[in-house]
Amino acid sequence: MLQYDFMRKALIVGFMLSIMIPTIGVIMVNRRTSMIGDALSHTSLAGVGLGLILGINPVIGAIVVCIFAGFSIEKIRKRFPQYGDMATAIIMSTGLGFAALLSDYAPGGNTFESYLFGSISAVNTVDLVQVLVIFIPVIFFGLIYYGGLLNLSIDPFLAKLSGVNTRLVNGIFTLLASITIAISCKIVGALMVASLIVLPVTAALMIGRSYKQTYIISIILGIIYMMTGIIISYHKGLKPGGAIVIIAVIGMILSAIYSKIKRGSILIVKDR
Amino acid sequence: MNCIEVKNLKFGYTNERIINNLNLIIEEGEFSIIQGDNGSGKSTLLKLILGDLTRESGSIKIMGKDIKDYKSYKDIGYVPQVNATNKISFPVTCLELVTLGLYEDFGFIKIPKKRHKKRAKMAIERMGMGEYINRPFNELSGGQQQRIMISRAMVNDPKIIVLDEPTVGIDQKSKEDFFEFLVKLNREKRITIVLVTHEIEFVSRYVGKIYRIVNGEIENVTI
Repeated sequence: MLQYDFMRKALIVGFMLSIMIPTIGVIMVNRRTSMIGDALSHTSLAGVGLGLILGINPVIGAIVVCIFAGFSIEKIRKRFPQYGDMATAIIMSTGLGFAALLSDYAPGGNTFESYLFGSISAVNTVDLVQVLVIFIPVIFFGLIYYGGLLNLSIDPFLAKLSGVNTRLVNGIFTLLASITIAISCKIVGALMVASLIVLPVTAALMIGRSYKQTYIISIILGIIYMMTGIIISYHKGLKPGGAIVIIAVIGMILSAIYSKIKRGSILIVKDR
Repeated sequence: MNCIEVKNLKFGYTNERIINNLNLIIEEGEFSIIQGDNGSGKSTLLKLILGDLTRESGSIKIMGKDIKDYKSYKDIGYVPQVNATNKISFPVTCLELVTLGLYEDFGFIKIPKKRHKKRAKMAIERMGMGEYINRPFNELSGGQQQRIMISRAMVNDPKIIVLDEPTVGIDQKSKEDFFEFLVKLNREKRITIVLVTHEIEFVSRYVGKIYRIVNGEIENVTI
């Protein structure tokens, strides 16, 4: 398996993504905004279609569209806080609408389809560099603003009083989350990224007894799911996104069982 | 010295005016209650005083400084309402939660260091919650959660503590213990305490002044 260049690249890219996605996911889930990840990943398809039509790298198209969509959601959420996840629904519908229209004009139907469920054979050096370029700031930001992001997840007003520059932290988070989701669509698949945002974190929430534990467990599970999924998809000829998500679901069920055995009852994460 | 000074304050979310020409002076070391019915604007007033909302007109001063220029938020400990809409549903330990109150001291990398954890631990122990330090916050009772939130508010040794409906969902005995603790804090440490509540009969025996909000104004002051 490792004698193939594309597999080596797929595993390296997968490894970086499996750290980045739960880093973003743990914040999204704790802030009860995990559906934003779903909206952004679906919207990224419009960027993929646009990129294919314009003849530019579809991932670059996805990044541009995702950044625009991410900040639009934040803007609408801020403007209409009383309407909950309305902003997410608006942007997801708009993104999917454009994606459906653009897919009709995108050259090479198979190429567009490969972004739905992911593809390991398509991973090239450009993708590797792209992911590396964004991997460094995501990890750097995750560490630098560890306390700020946790503070914001608990209560934005308390965070502000504690000295968190809420606008800056929120802005950088939206930017990096949008880019992370967009660049994940090639290997994981646009329809599958949101699952990888939520599933490792959900499993970690059942096991973790602190924020630090939850954070670390999410990343470890993300790596296990991603690596196993890529390897299985190579050996069985499956779509990587599907394989990763099914493994993640199995992982979540096992975590629930573990939690039940350990605590005597399954921990149901309230209000989720 | 006036700790909080509000003059001719006006504010509304839409066309409806919630705060209408409100005047309020809270002196240093005072233990006061801002009381009013549900929807009377008590929590809105708190948010205006703490700079989370922007006033339409009027002035708000904290320790003599206009709220726009006020940067010493370490001097203010805020205890939010713990209710269904803002409760923490993920596992965060009491120690992690209280340590976050020291965020400004974390340095460039915003990860708490040993010294921050030590201070937070002391703040929790002072509240008699030492045995709960490593317990997830969301597994505690309402009264225990309130004590942890006060530990967080106290971790910076503030001059003012502002509490928003702190007794919601707490049983009578815990409420009494809680208020006795606040009185002690106010008397022994001379910390100014401002508490917002809709309850009146219960709290009146503990506090110095009660300001009642009616139609967006302070209607009367009971001493």
